Amino acid sequence: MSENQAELNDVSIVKLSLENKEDFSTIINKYEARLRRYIKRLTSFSDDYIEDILQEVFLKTYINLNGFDQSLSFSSWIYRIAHNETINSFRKNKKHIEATYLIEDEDLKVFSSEINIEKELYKEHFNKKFTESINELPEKYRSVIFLKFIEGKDYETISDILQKPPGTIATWINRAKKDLKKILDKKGIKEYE
Amino acid sequence: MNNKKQQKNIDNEILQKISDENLKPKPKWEFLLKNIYFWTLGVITIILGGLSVSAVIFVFKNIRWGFYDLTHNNIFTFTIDFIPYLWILLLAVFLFFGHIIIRKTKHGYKYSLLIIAGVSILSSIVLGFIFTAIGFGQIIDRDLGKRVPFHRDIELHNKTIWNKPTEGLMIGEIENIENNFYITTLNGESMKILNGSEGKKELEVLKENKEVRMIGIKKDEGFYICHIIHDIREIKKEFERKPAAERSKECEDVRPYKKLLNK
Repeated sequence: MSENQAELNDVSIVKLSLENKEDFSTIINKYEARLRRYIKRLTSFSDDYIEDILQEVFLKTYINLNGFDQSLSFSSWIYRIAHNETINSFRKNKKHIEATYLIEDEDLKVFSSEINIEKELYKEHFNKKFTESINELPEKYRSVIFLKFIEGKDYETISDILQKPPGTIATWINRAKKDLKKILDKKGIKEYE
Repeated sequence: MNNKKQQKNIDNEILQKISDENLKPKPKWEFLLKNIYFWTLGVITIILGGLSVSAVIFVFKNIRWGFYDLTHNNIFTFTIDFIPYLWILLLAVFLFFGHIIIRKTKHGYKYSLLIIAGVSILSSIVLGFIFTAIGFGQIIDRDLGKRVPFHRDIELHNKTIWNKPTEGLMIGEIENIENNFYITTLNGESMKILNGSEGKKELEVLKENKEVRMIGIKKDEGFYICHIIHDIREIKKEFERKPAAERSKECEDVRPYKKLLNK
């Protein structure tokens, strides 16, 4: 299914959900896993707490269905709600943070090649050190890193999710990469030429 | 395993919650109204910014630049003294809030600070010129400005800088020119004007209740006139009125007088 078709479906599902709330389950089923992963990456919250946030995200999505701006993709819109809800919860309640979430190996490959450290990939404890380094970044940089390199979103989409101008997103991504390299360098993970 | 089961049921849980709490999607008009509300606020801040600009334009148009060296040491201190800080500060405040408000509109986040600031400043300037042409600048600076503590409207400011007798500058309203020449100063006091070399000829052109600016020397018994400014808008013609022979030697050391001689 092409992205356009998927979006067309989302718009149709939104219309159907407005008429019959049972159809909203299609949206939940489609986005639940993706959003769960995104929230986990962003905060390292405990599973129970993520469950609560996720519920809140879908309830807010349902309540605000009429506010869905069709000039955006539905995916960007629901990610925006999830992002805002997660960040608000994160600021309010940091005690639910569990052990550092480890980025999956496949994602790590893409990401580490992006900042020229892929040769270090197979070293012992690399994954842990790398994820720790990301968690040391400021919240806004962490968000753009995950959205760009792990979720694979483009600048426009990230701009729609974080509600910041695309130029700002590009700046954040560059700064995030630079800061991440510095942190990795301090941890003994070097960039190759 | 437990987590998986939980995950599987999340749609049921959410739908159940929607039913239990009788949750309904907010109506479309609420979102529309919210967007209109923010755009309206945005437009209002730009209009207010435009009014501030019109006050700034009015002030700059009414600064008597030709007199700067009589009242101040140089053009820099003169300009600093006359900058309409209140209106510029208000403009900055309106631009700041305008930026925040526009960012809150539906697609406001897409525009960079530079674009929003540029468009807001430009709109405020264009509106500012329109409002100035209508006469709003004067109304704001004179009528509104008078109600703001620590703010001097340009009209009062133009007078205040002449209210420095010890520095050779005096301003006031003529009380009487029959026998003794008295003026009411800006502070509301009555001050005797000592008729120096100006002579009766100079006084004859003045009438009671007319505002007068003078250059002279502050003495115990009053203010000794070296020169009377007849027209604040035509400073260059001022000194042509008085022949060199009539000029007072006593005034030669008075700073504004020396400046006037050099004009």
